Amino acid sequence: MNSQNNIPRVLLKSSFLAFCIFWLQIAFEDFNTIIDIGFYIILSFVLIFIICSLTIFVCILIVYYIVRDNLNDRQIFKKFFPYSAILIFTFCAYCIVFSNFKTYVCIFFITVFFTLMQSWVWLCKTNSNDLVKT
Amino acid sequence: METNHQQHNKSGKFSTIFLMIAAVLFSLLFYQKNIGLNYLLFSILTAIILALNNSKTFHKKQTIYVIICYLLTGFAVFLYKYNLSIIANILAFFTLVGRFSNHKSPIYINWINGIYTTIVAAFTLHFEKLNTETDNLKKQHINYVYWLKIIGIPMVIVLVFINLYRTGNPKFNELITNIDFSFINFQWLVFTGLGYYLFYNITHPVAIEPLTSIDLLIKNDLHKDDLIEKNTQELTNEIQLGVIVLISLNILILLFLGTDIVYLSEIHQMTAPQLSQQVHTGVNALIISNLLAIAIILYFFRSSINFIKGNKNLKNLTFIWIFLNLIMILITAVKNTEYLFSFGLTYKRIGVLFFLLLTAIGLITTFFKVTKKKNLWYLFRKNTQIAFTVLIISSTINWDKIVTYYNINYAEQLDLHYLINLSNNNTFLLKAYVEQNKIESMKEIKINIKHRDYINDLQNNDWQEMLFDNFKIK
Repeated sequence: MNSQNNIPRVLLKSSFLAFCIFWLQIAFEDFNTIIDIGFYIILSFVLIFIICSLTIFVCILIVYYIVRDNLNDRQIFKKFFPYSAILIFTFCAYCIVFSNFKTYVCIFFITVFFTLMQSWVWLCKTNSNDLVKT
Repeated sequence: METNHQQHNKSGKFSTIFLMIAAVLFSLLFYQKNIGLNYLLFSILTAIILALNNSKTFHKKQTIYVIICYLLTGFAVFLYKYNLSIIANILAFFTLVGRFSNHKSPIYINWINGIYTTIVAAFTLHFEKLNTETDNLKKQHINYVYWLKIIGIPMVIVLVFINLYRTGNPKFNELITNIDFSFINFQWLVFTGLGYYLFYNITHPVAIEPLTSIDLLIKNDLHKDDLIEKNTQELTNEIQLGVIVLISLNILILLFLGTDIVYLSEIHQMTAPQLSQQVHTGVNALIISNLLAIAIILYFFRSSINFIKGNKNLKNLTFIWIFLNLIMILITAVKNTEYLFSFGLTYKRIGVLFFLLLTAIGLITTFFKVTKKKNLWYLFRKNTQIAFTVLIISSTINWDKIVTYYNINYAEQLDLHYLINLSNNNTFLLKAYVEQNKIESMKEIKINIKHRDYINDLQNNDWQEMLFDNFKIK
């Protein structure tokens, strides 16, 4: 059984994760900025949610929707996660190197990479009910 | 008596402490540091950790070979610090990590598994853990909304009120502004965390399935039973076609070689652009010719033709064609060498020689493929392994120094501008050249600036950034 019903929940969780990783890194860079723009940080969740959802859609959900009828979540993870991880890593590493390791580019792509990897795990995680059934 | 669970916990704690030490060492070596001695030390550290983590794989002959390659490239980075040795070191690192994922796999699977393990082994293991029934049931009780409420809402409220109070009270504003966390280096902590993540991944190797297992099932040899059966008439027709094609190609290549040898005898009368044109067209012809040669051989020797008795003529013609292609490589190498003697060494010209070497090796492995009845995978496996070895060996050579030394002492035409733009590995040679010879003042200034900057860089190096050249200056 696939977890398509969990997708909105996964998107929310991933956005929250991205929000935390992104702002924590910025806090490590410059704590006072976080205090100065405190309220806008909260608003930024909306923007992060949009970007995160779009990225997850492009990088994971397209493949997921194409193959979900033929494979279960575990099989999808086993079959596609490794190659997806390598491609995403290559793209993020390329962007970071191409930007000559600019701090904010590093922060953005580190967030993208870890959020996408965790999104794969959340998306393909088999529900305990399904496990009991199997 | 200790239970398995207790033992597992103990080894888990030990491994965590061990990984933490490795992560701190990683930070110590690389945090805000340039490349130098740290690369060599990291290579040694990684090799030790991998060996301790999986001594069984460590003792395999092929693993020892990869470890030697890895350490060699690490040492090359310390000696020369140039891009080729860094790339070779990274590739050797992935190969080594991949070997610990599955020591029986060929080198290209090692690369893929090595990259996969290094970047996301922790996520894969986390996924596996979540999907085991007991853990899954445990995790079910985690209420994310509750934790979001407990942590998120108070944090938001506190941030809003801090901002409100700051505008209302200058003293409070000053207090908040003066909060200084600089005594905790968060960046260092993040960097150490990444080091921990890296070491955790490489000590928990994972393999991509089903890729790894499918590849292991494919052997190097062709087996008569595995091939699609064709009737005798079909095979005879195919052999006839092969013989005609190869006879035509052999005649054609003989004609080409004949004219090429005549051209070669006139090489000393050629001007620089003519010679350059010759080398480039020769190399281009070689690329196409050899790719076609291998493709045609693979096509004809893909099926039962390998096993029938009447294939002798086809085999002999194939060997002649391989031999003639090797002669073509030799002639191109002669032209290139002549070009080197006249106009000096450059990276592109050395690159052509390496390309010729690899092409010759490709043809020789194709020869073995036919004689020993091997399949396409044999070619792929052997050639990637040889290419890896060539890369490792070439990365241990100080090319900048060789190019500079040769051009200064032997080249008929000296392009100092090219030499100045090479890496710092030739700085001392250029400086000595300037001191002993009279050259254009602009170039002399550039060389002196290069030398001064390099000496400054070396003097400012921390112990982690030290290079072999540090021992040459006082």
